[in-house]
Amino acid sequence: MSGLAQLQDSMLRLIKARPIDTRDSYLDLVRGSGELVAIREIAIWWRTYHLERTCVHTARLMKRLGLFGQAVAEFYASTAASPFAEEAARQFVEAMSGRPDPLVASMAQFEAALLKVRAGSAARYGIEWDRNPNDVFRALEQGGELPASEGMPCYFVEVAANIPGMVCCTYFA
Amino acid sequence: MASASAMEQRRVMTAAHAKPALATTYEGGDVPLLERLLERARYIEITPDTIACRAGDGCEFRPEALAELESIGARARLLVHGVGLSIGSYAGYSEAYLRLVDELFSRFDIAWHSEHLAYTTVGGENLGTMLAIPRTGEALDMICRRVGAIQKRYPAPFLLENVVHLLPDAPGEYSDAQFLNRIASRTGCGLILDVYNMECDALNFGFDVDAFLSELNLENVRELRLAGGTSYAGLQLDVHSRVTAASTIALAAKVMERASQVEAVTYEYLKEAVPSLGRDAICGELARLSAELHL
Repeated sequence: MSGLAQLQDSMLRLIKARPIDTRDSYLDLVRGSGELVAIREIAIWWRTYHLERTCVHTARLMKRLGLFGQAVAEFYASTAASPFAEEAARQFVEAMSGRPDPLVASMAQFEAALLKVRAGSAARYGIEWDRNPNDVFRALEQGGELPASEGMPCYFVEVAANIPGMVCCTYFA
Repeated sequence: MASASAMEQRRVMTAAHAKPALATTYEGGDVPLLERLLERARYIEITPDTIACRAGDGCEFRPEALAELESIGARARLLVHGVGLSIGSYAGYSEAYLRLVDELFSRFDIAWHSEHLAYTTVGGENLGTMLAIPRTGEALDMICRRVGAIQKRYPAPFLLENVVHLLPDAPGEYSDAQFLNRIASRTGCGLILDVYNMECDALNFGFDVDAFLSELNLENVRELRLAGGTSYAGLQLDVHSRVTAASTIALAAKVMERASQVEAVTYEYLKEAVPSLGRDAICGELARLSAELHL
């Protein structure tokens, strides 16, 4: 590996807060610098800014739950996120779709479906919720308390271009 | 040595040169602002990355953005200024970005195009920031090869811009000015001198602007860039969210006294900053720069 390749690979690792095993006085200088910390924070700030605007619902819910900042930081560090905001949003909601919190997972799956349909997908997407999604959105809009889980999936939300309004919700318990 | 086509590009720019003209950025999606910019600016600068979206393995322009550019017609000339080429990435620059530039050249009369002397990706992974490349012989050879390939690909001149140094400099063999001088002399490419970036470097790392300007061959400078930014954690950032500081305009005027080939002075602002800056302030800034720098 050339000097330039080695340096750039190490810089990527440092900026993404990943471990590097190279001992090098310049890399040690960067690793201990306040500028590196600032660069990481600025990069995450930009990601946060764009995600708040491109995956609005998931961002709003996760902020409400106090999970958003940490999730964005982990996403930035671990994912080869696209420089294109729309694609990065799709990557983010796909990543959040697998979260253990069922509310966050449902919201992220719902938003992933919305982004795909708005981008031209002709598919029909179905998402299970363990609480009434209308109440979730109302709480987020109006600042009220989020509804509690009903213990099991009992609402089914479908998203498709050929549904009037693009979204419909069915109670099936 | 510069190639024949590069030298021809340089001659074309020099022949066309009269006095510097005003340029400004436009990132699409705000036709009322564009119409007001066109009342003042002779050049409109577009960044392909910001008016494109991902499509399959590549990217493509938003149709509405192309329509806006078409609407400019003869009212201004277009400049293309990239962010996504990543000319300094060891693993290779972005062919997807160049395909966007191909399309722009096929559709529009582009006066010149440019990119930052930096890298934004490593092994295809986006850094989320832009880093200066080390000023080594290896990097110099790589950059010159790539500039040569780009010059062969497009009929218009290609310029490289000095970037803000956000981290301590990596060990190198050349000073900032020597590195830029060698790239320009070997390839014939022009330079963009970002005046605000120089100020950031001076504030952040004690960069000696006077020494840099004394060593830099200012005859290679074709464009100056001005902006106003913000600071974070003690770092002055190249986040173009403000009007230009008086010190930046004064430094630009000082450079213009000595850089006889400058053809455009570009006021930069981020699309994200338009709501806080306001269209009136942006247009007022164009009027101010025009008056104070005699554009």
